[in-house]
Amino acid sequence: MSVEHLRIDNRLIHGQVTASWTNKIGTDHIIVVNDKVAQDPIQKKMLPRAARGIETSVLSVDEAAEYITSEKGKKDKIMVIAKLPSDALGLLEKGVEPKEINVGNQALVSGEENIKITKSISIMPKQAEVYKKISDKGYNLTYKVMPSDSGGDFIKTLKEKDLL
Amino acid sequence: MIGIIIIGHGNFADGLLGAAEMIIGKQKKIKALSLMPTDNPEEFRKKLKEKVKEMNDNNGILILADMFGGTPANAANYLLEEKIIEKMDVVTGVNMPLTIELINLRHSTNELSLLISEAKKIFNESFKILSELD
Repeated sequence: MSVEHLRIDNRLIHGQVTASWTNKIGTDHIIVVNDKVAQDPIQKKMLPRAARGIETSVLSVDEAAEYITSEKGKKDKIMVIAKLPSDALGLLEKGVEPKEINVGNQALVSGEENIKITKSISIMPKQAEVYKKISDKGYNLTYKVMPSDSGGDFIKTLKEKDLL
Repeated sequence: MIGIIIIGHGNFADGLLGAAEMIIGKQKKIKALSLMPTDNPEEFRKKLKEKVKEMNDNNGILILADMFGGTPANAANYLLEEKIIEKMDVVTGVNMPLTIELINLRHSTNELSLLISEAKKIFNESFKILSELD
């Protein structure tokens, strides 16, 4: 399988990604995954521009899983940016096997109960279960904003906050 | 007068505005909007949209963003694509000389395209390697 890195990040393609992560991973194809974003014509036009020259696709969960597991997809060095943990889980359930999974940014969602986990990550209590399901698929979920961050065990942190 | 909104990561926008005003004094029709680590990008975009509409007086709005491809610039790019007002543009990678010149220049023109073409010149001139100067 060809997914070098899966990042859960609701900011999608932004400064931290293009200035630090793409180099570290050595990706030649960024795939942004979220059903809603994939239907937004402005995002579809803008995100490839923000990627500064790296081939970029903006796909629904189904489309992304289909491409990544295809013969063509297997030849790419893919960085997946899943907007939400549910997008990441959707990919795993459809047979995508990233080498590593990291939580980048998850911002507060207004009008919902949010629990702050780190400076860059807030989650709704109901999402804790989604992260656990990801981890149960055999992943050590880290939380690094930058590649140089030491990162930690995200599931352990959720347990410390009594979310699991 | 053309309105200016500075946007950026962390304290960049407030810092740049504060620094510019330290040199040319307090200014009208200029605002700073900051994206902090916990801020939601969609909400940042909403706030920016409100600011643009609030400040626009038909001469248009110029948004100065810290870096191309960053979340603040992406939000501005989105609003540009949405065409939320008739005259609007976004420049990225802004610095101090550019900001000061743009603030001053808008007193002599209400033409957004002219302001932007000037901006390009100023920006290129502002980068200097001092050891290479005569």
